[in-house]
Amino acid sequence: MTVWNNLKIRAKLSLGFGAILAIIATIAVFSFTNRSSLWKDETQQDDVYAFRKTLMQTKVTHYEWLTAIGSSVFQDSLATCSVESDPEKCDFSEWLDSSDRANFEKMFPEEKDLLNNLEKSHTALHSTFATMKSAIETEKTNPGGTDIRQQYLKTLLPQAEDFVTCVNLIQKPVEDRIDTLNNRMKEFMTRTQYMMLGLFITTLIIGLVLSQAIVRSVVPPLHSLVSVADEIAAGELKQWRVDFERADEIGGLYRSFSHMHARLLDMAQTLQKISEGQLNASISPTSPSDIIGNTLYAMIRNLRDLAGNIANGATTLAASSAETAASATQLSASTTESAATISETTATMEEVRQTASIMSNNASSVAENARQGGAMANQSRDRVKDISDAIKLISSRMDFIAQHTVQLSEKSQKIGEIISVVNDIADQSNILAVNASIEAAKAGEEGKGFAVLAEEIRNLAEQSKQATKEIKAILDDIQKATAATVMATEEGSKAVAKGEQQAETVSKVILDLASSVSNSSRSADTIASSAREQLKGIEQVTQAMESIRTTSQQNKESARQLDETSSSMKNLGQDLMRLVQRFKL
Amino acid sequence: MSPVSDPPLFPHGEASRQERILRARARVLAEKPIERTANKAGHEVVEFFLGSEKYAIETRFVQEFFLAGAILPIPCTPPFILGVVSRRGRILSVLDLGGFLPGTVPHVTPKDKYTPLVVLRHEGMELALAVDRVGVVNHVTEEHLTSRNEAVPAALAPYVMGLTPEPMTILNAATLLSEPTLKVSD
Repeated sequence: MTVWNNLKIRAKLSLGFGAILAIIATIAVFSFTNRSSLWKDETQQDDVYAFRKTLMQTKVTHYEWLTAIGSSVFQDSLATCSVESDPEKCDFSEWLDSSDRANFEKMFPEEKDLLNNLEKSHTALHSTFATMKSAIETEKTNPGGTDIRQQYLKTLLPQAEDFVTCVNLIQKPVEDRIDTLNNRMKEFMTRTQYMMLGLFITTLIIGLVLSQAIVRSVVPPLHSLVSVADEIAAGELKQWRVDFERADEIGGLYRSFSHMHARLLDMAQTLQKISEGQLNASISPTSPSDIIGNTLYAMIRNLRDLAGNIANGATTLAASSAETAASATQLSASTTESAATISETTATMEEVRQTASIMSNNASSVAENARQGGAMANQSRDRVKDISDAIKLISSRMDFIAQHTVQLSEKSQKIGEIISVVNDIADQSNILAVNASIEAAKAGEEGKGFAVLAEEIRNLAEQSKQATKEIKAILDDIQKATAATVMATEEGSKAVAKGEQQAETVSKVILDLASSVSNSSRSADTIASSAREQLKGIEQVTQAMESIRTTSQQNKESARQLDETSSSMKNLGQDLMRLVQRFKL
Repeated sequence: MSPVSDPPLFPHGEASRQERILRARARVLAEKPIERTANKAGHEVVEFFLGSEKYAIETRFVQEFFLAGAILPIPCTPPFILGVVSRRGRILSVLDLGGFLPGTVPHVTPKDKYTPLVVLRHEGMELALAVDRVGVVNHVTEEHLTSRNEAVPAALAPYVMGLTPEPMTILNAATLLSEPTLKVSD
């Protein structure tokens, strides 16, 4: 039993499977040997069956052959009978000449004489018929005569009986050989069945025995290890000792498991020390690939660094907490101040919103005015065109006036010349009247009447002169007025031309103005829409400011809470410092 | 005689220039003509103007007035001789009284055409005085004449017969025509 237990599991399994494989190989060899013998018998049986079939067909064929000849003989139609008369052309003769005959003689050597007799009988049979047929053909014999019938009855029929007898004699050993072969094959099959059954039972027994032996040597120790592993998995690392010694894999597994258990126990004890704050505990990794050992070693080292850092951090935290508390107080004050400022800003934004609303309305009014201005500019453009047309009409009228004023001036010149002539005539008349008066005065009393007449003439001349003077004055006025009119007309024409030019300029200006006003209208529309957008934006800003104000109130509360939290943090830092001091570095 | 305001000719309108002319003309026509009675001693004179001054010459020395065309200047003659003109086949010297009478300066500027000339004649002496404007034939009584010794400078006295209150200077044509400086001997 100790030997079995010390045997390796691989050896045990190899032993079991080897025994089973040996039995299977025995079965295979036995089966192959029997199969070879069986195959030989089957081949021989096929040949024997073929012989029997040939013999039986030969009997049937020659029965039919004989019957046909008999019918022809007794019906007197032998001459026309078409049955084969040549023994060499018969099917049986072909079999006799084939390799099958040699095979038969090889298989049945004692029946060789019988086969020769059969061949002779067959040849005699066909020869008799050939004789009969040739006699008929040569007309030596009456076809319906008794000779032929006698020859048939006394020669051919007995030959035929001999032939059948020979066939039966040969068929007898063939039948015996068939029976022999069948019996032998049955016996072989029975023997094979028993042998297979015995081998199966043997294999079953060996398999069961070996499997039980292997299971009993492997499973109980594994169960024990599984229970220990479950305890380790559950964290129960109690003292455990290997209580048996084995040289197989199970023993190796027990030893490895024991090492692992000891190692885990060592680590657990180290971790327990760490958990108690003894960070001076040490552990040595077994190798660079010892993940747990290396990790634990790094963990202890990191914990030491961490504890040191936490201690420093706690110190810093305590100081920072004090500063944070001060800053939180300051933040609280600033937040309060900021909340007040945000409230003011919110109020200001409300005012801005109202102003933006007014501005938006004004922008809309401006846009409307700009549209009206555009319409007025278009009307102005039409009016300026009317004015331009009117100025052109005035220009033509001014030309007309200038032309007629020049003519008037020329006429005035003519009148002046005529007046000058009339004035000269008046002067002459005056002088003549004076001369008449002189002459009347010289005549004395007789010339007094003439003197009166001359005086009247002189008066008329004087009046004429006065009238011409007045006319001259009037004419001078007319000429001055005409000259002034000419001047005014020229100036008017120039002014009209200038006005026309200016009207064109104004028209261009009005067009530009209309375009500009149109652009202004579009710009005003854009401004109005922008103002509306701005108003919306300002309203959103106002809402945002309201949100900011709310948030600022919340911030104020948060600052107060931060103040409290910073005080708590300060206490926390001090607590942390006390906690860290518990670690032994 | 106090001035009487005339009733308006056009009661429903302002006094126009036409109305003023008509009124002035009516006023002139309404003046009483100078009495030319033979009973009153006086002189028939012909009035003319030199500039703004009014002169007169007795009609018995006056041949005629006429409007002279171009006056032909004569070289080497005194400045008061304006030149000569042709009148009905006769050559007349044209005298400028402004430069001729003592204490005066040449006055009459020859016009381009139709210079009024008054033709004087006395005892074979005939000349033409250039005047500015011809007046009327008037009768000046002695009572209207002022003595020449009272208002006229001594040098001018021989050429002046008297002065009227208008004032109007009545020239002494006989003295004037007898003036030796007017005679050209060679």
